[in-house]
Amino acid sequence: MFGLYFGEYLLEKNKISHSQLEAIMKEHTSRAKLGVIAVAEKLLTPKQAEELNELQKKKDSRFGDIAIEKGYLLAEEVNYLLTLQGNPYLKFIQSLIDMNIMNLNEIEECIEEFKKDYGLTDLELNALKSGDIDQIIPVFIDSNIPFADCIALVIRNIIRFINNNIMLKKYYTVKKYTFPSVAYQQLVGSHDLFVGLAGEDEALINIASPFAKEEFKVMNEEAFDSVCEFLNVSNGLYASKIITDDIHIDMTPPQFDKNKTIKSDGDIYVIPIIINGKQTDLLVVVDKKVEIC
Amino acid sequence: MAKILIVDDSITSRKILKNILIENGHEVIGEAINGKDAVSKFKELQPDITTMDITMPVMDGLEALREIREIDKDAKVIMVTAAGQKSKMVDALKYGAAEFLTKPFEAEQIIEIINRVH
Repeated sequence: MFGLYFGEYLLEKNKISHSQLEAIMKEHTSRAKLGVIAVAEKLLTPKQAEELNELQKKKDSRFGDIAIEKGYLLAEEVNYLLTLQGNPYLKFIQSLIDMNIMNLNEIEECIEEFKKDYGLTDLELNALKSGDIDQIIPVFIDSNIPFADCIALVIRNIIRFINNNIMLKKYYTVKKYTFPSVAYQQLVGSHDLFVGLAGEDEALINIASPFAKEEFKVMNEEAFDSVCEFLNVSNGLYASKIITDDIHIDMTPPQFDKNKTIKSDGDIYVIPIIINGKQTDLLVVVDKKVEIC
Repeated sequence: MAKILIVDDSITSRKILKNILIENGHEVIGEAINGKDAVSKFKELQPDITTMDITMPVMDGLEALREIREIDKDAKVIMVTAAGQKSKMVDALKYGAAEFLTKPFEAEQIIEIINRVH
């Protein structure tokens, strides 16, 4: 997931081309090398890693053993670094190096700039690097907004049922939202919720096809039905979760619409979610009237 | 092998359920898209088992369950619910539902319930 964020950033900054990024995302380097991980974890400087790489070429020893021998790393540190070899962020960095796009020094500089430009704290950057969705969601969605746990569950369900390589963007609120296509469901009861997924047809197809396990070419009635059913399943799981807090909500049949505007007296929370490079907006309205016209 | 009528307004849901049932040796003899359609197909097809979604337009699954059980007091109807519809599940039990299936569908759970009811 970090690869998507950092890759987009490198594209924006013209540090990488579209074809290079595509190649990296397709290549799936099986694992990151110890030197790269040690530098990323700031246990070695790039210079030390380079020195150890050179030594490794001359000696028939493993990188970790040479690092311990030189006194650069402890055995415990080597063991810890080995556990990170499958981390997607580190694999992305390994691919940048293997494809001679950037060296470790340049990557470190770019990550610092990325952090600064996006206004990320160390904690938030580490959350992105972790690839753990539970850590990533709070970076983009303020946990104090109403029914943030409903939003988080839809995102987790997108990862569970649709695609595990998604990118979130920071949420925002509007009173009016115009959409090309939307699938939505109203939940009524102790609280009234409107939950929708809106976007261009090619974005919604990225949800419809994997959920129905069928390749849709256009956003026809069946494809909309699939997105609606995904919402129905996700909202059902949410309703069952909150019933333990004595909050009872009933689901109305999901619906879909095209080329209209959603209006609300309250805030419409918009959470952009990128799936296969296309943006779908998750829309949530809590306890306020929603009008589609 | 059971002869099954699937009732759900979602074509996606019907397809997923149908595939699981057929792969496990059952026969899907019909599909209905709402409660009203279900009552009419039930009379026509006389299935061994009916799977009935609860939340549907025109006539919901609870009303259809009631009507079907009036037609045949021994009708075996398995209610299909999105997780979290507990109050409706209680009503369905009162009307004589045989069992419950919850979405998202899991093949193992579906087959176990179908075999238990059949």
